[in-house]
Amino acid sequence: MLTFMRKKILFGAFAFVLLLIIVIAVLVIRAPKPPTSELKMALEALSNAQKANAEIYANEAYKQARMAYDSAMDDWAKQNERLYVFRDYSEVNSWVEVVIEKADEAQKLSGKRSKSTSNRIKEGIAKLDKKVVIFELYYKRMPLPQSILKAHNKGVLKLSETRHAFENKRFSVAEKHFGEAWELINSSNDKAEILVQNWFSAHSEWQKQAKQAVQLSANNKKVLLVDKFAHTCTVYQNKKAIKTFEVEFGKNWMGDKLLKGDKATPEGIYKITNKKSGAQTKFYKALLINYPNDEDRAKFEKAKSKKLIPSNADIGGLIEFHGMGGKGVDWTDGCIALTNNDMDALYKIINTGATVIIVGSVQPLEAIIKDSVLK
Amino acid sequence: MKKNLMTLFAAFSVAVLLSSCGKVPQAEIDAANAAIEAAQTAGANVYVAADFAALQDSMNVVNQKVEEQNGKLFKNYKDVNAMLTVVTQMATEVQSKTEAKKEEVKQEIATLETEVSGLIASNNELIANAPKGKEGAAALEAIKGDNSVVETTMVEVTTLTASGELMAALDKAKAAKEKAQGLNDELSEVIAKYSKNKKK
Repeated sequence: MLTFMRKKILFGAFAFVLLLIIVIAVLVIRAPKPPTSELKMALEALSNAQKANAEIYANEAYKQARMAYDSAMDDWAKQNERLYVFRDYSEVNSWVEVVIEKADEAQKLSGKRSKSTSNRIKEGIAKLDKKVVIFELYYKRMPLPQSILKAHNKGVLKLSETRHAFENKRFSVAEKHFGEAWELINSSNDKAEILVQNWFSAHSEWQKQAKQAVQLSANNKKVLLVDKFAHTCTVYQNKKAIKTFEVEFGKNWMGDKLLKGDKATPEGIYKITNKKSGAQTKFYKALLINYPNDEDRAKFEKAKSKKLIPSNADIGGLIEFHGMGGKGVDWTDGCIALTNNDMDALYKIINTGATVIIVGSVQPLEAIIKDSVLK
Repeated sequence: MKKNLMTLFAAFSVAVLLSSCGKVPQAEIDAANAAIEAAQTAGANVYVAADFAALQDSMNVVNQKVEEQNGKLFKNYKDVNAMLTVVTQMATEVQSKTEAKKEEVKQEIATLETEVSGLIASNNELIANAPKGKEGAAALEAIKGDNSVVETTMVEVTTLTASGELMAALDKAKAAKEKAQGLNDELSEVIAKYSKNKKK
């Protein structure tokens, strides 16, 4: 009887354990499954967005995707702590959907934006290169304030840094350098342009004088027309240009001469008053002009009365065409320098009494800038 | 009967053992994360960005695998452990690669510094030997200014290198070299032109 009872108890225990195993197995099998493959897809989408530099170009969308992924992982961990039957991955699934959607959005946006940034920088570099060329061609030769030159130089260096970062595909760094280069180059070009434009406000007068030079050369007369901007001296005879020479001036050539030592070349209508050669000049050969003329004296006195120049200032003199030029820079005290060969030629054809007209520029500024851009 | 009871007990014990023996390899996870952080601190995200991104991807996969096992009745972290070993090793390699890349960039900067110093010295020499007098002064004044901008830039390169901003220092050094070389050419041209015309 006792053995039978023991057998019964043992059978009962066995059946209970078996039932327990079956119940656990069923629960495990039927328990909700975590969305592992979806989470892998989400991770892949995030990785692709990161590779597309979404952190830089589509930060907002990328950040949302990243946060959604972290939330999905947190929720998955929370569900894992619960009993199998009570697990619910619907929230994980929702987060996964957000991750995929936002990561895709970030990737696409980043692709577009990085492409447009890259194009913008590329085009910007080309634009700034042109501005640098204009500055180097025209403004750099002008007597500009040091602050403008310094800003230009810094801008050129920044532009170079932009180019190196761009070539190495570090677009965000390139964009930062580009912004600085843009500011420096544009501001130095703009300031230089303002100074030049102010000077060019006398352009209509210069044009009249240039026409006058041509008219005055009628009846076999020789007239010298000096174009300061172009750095040329043209000899007109019978209303035709018969010879053009390259010339150099004083370092402050932009602007009219006002007083002694300002290293500016005068602008106006003059006459050749003397021809010098040999021991008469230390600059090979020279053609002296009648600076200061009456107009120069009046201008000088007016500036003095307005206290624009010191009361003891001297108007200066001894402005001439002379040799020893061809140095490639503006170096005289206000004279007009030619190479010795050109001086020989000019000396031969010009006599005392010949008219000299010195203008800022025959060409208008717009045409000069347009030409340089086209070049 | 007794035998049956023993079998049942053994089976139950194995089941309990299997469900509780798989422990999260937290020490290994921490070690892998520390190695990744060390690589990042070394600048892996800047100097070997693609490798660092791959490393982060691998660690994210490991984290998913850990969670996958956490949710199972019979946990098995054997694969996770193997992956963590690979990730830790990968992080160490990425860090070494970063250091090597940084060393390479430092060498490039040092070479550029030497070259630019040489060019600045050459420019100063050319300025000193350039035509004296009013013509020389006028011609060289602007170039002197340009040369001083290059010198200032090289001081900035040294500062950036010292603060570990190597890529910025490299960009700057390259730009400085271009400018210094340009000035050298310009100076040589001015002096040559001057000498040529002086002989006439």
